[in-house]
Amino acid sequence: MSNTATTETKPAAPAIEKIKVKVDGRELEVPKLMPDWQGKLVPTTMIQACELAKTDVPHYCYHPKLPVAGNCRMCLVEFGTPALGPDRKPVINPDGTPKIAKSPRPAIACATPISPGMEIYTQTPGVKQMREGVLEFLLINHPLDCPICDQAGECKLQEYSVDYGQSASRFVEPKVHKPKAVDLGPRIVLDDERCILCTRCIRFTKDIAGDDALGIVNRGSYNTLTAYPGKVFDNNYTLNTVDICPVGALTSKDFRFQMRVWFLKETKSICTSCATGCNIIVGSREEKVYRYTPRENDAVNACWMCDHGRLNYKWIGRADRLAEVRRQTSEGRSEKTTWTVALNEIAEKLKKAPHGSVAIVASARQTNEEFWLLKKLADKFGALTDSIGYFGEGDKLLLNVDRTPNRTGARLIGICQANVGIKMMVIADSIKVGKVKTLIVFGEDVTKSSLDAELLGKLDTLIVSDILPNETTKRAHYLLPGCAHVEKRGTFTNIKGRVQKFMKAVEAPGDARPEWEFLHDLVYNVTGQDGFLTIEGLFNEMAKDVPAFNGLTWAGLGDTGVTVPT
Amino acid sequence: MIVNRKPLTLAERLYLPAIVGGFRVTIRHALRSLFGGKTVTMEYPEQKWAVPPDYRGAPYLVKDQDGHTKCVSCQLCEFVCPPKAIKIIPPGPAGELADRPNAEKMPHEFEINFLRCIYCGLCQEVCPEEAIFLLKDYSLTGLSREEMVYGKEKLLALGGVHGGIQKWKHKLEEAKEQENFPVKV
Amino acid sequence: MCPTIVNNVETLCDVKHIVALGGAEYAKLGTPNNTGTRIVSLSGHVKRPGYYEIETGKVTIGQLINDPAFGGGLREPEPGRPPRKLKAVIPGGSSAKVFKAGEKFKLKRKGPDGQMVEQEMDMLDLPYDFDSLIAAGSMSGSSAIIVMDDSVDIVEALANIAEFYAHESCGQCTPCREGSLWMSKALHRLTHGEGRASDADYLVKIADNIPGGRTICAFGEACSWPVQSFVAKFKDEFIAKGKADEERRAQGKIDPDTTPSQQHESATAH
Ligand code: SF4
Ligand code: SF4
Ligand code: SF4
Ligand code: SF4
Ligand code: SF4
Ligand code: FES
Repeated sequence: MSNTATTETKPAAPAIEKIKVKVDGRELEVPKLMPDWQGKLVPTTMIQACELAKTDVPHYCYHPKLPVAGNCRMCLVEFGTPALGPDRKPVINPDGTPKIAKSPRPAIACATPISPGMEIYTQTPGVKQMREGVLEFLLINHPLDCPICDQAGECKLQEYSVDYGQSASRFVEPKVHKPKAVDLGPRIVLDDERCILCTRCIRFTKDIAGDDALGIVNRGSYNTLTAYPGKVFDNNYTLNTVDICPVGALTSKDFRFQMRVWFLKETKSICTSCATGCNIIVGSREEKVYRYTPRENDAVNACWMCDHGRLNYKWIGRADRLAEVRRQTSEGRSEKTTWTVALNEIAEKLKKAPHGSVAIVASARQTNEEFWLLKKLADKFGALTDSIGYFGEGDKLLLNVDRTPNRTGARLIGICQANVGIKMMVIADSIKVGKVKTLIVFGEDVTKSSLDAELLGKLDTLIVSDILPNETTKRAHYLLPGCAHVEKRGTFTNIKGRVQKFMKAVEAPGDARPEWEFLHDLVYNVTGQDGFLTIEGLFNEMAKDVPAFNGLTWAGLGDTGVTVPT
Repeated sequence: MIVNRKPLTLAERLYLPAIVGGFRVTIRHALRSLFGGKTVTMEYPEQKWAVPPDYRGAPYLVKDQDGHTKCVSCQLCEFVCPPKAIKIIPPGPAGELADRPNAEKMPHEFEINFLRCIYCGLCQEVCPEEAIFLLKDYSLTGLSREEMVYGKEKLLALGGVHGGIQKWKHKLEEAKEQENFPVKV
Repeated sequence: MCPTIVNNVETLCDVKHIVALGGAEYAKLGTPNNTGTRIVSLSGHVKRPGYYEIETGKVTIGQLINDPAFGGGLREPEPGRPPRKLKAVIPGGSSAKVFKAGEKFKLKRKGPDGQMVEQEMDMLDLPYDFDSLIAAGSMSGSSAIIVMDDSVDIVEALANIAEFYAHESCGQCTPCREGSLWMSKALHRLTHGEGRASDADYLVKIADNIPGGRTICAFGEACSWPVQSFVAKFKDEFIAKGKADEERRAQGKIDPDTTPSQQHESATAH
């Protein structure tokens, strides 16, 4: 890795003292302090030490990105500390090891800090019995709705039941019944019978989203999660509570009864709805996208994403997606054609185009690689290039004012200026005066900008690539169907300069091809440049060429990306 | 450990005794029906075969004693079915409610492709709702591929009624009973 | 939010003495290591239930029950019935482990020669202080003594206690939240004609999963100790009740005392 690119956004923290603990008899050194949910350094807890020791401690209420509550009692472990003699010095066994005094009472691993020489036992019969006991208590009043519960398949209660549950229940009493299918807000359904009262959702919405909307009412076994009376649970982050709810109590209305999770293929991807670039997992089955869920990346989105981005996927499977390569005949009729024909014709026309007669409008929703290929075309023809910005209201947590995923990439590669769209007027004027005769548009309806339908009519050649039909695609001389980001691979550069890659989840409809593929063909046809037939090769070439990306490699991006100076 | 094979004896090398042995049952029946006057074949389809009680025929959906759809669209059978004969379309958030009180969910569409089904019975075994059973039908025919894909209505009509524990109804009754317990909300 | 202090009556009474006597004088009251006074809230089947302030450890449980200065003995039987017999004593609030009448404990005490000797003593001879009751496996807790004579159905008594704890559990942590109501439901069943002989073990197994540091606060212990101790010390009564129910159900007889319409009434009667 070069020195321009780092995986960390912050400078390296000062070295933290390490202390020795034993987890199930295995000694290891763990930092004395570790980040808590806010990233503040606090004394390391047992559960963090166990995680470093690769020992799984079952837990419900603990979440690394939430304040600790310690109420589920699933994480109980036994432990011992070095015994102290009357002189306050450690007692030494005859074999020279310090004598360990086993604590008579267990401790919750999620909230108990470690101390030097501590021994944590997670596999003793006592611990197993405590886990079984807690799990049984959680299950006795649980409705066992699994056949109709959207959580089934990714439910912690199911998972730990396999590990610590009994095959039969000895509970013969009537169960506690609570409200079912409660409408908590526009995007959330609550089933109180399934709730195990871990308070994760309450802590999230209070401490992370800053909207103190949820709470528990009633006592004892009748504890019931609810929204504050008269309050609607509708902040822009509500669906994160569905992710962190360890059971199926909070479910998404959007995903409700849509598909069982075990059928979903999970693909690592990036949210495209704003410039933050939250890391996501795309859940798809049989070429249909069913949901987005956040993927942990501490440099970008921690474990969260906003509801706006999460639900912005429905257009991917729309029936009117562009799926045919089309060209306009000399009579002005639109006809279906093939990629080879269209790309060869476009190349011929471009080759004949005089310097400065071509303009390119790219979309800030395109990938770095596509920008770079467009930039190659632009350099060849001395073309004007720009993009169009989309802005909305941002918030303090994740949602950025910039609603495009890759304006930073477009700027770093030289497609647009810091002030995006500033050259659109120049392009419009050049068309008006007849200087620009060929316009290449990617993923934008330019008729909504300064390039209205009349101006487009003045062009000799209008080459358009898009995903959905619009006024610009209707007027295209060549229409090249492209891909949604879930249908291809590539990288985006987020607002903070983090270059992150995304993978392909579903097939594109019909003849649609990833833009980088046909752009590569076009660049090859026009300039003869070759050598990047794979996305990996293309990215690596680009990284060598674009100063901001120097030193990056596709493989080096990893799953969570690399930050470059912007 | 290496176990050396015993060399084959002459009888074994001739293969004939093994062949005769293999055909013993066949030959016995052939001789019996030729000369013993005892036929073991039947004039199908005029004559129908008496289906043994534990026979596994075609899987159909059943209704409960109140005439409600038992299937809740959990899609476990779809998951377990080895030849992928089952296709379920879940109701989705805006779909029709289950016709069973308190169950929330039932399939929007449920198809079994009987060209694929191998009558293995895994769907019946996995079903948590006792909603699908292998019944006695063994000769399903059709004139087209489409005809061999049975939809929800057809499967329910063919399956008939299968009573039993009405889990969801029981939950409803239990919820009402809660009112009579001294420790209250 | 402001912090709030809620003081126990006993605390305020102690403060009064400490202010009046001075700390050192106050500490001379009682017995070594169990100094000062306690306010005993004596309730149940004694002639004179009420609040009695005693010097810690200077009075035995038996004295508290029988001494005319305190309880004045068990209450009179109904006319024509034999005198009442003591059945059980809960020495320190309903969460303390119960003592069965006639129970004997071996405690280490300072003998007349100043040496520690092991001494067997009856439950009634236990001095009412902190250490002796802990040594006897219970606690003086809130110093609320509940006296039960032989008219008490011990299962009903436990059902009543369990119901209280199920109602009081805050519900924060799993074992206490779920366990308290589970035990209460089981005992409700056992006291309403739906018992099983196996319910005694069933109850103990539930209770065993709650205490011992598994819960956030001591309420987990508080709700499980009575169940553990009642069933341990009166197991035969629990089994007998369950068996009787089983037999009645097997014969198809319905207990006229526990028809469903009466269930609620009888459960709240005590
Ligand atoms: S929350 Fe989990 S255990 Fe409960 S019904 Fe849903 S899937 Fe089943
Ligand atoms: S709804 Fe889910 S996250 Fe919230 S308290 Fe209940 S189980 Fe926990
Ligand atoms: S019987 Fe077997 S093959 Fe046929 S539908 Fe059921 S699971 Fe599939
Ligand atoms: S038939 Fe049974 S297993 Fe199949 S979806 Fe319906 S309920 Fe589930
Ligand atoms: S043990 Fe304490 S904190 Fe836990 S549920 Fe019981 S009363 Fe609440
Ligand atoms: S994870 Fe530790 S108490 Fe819940």
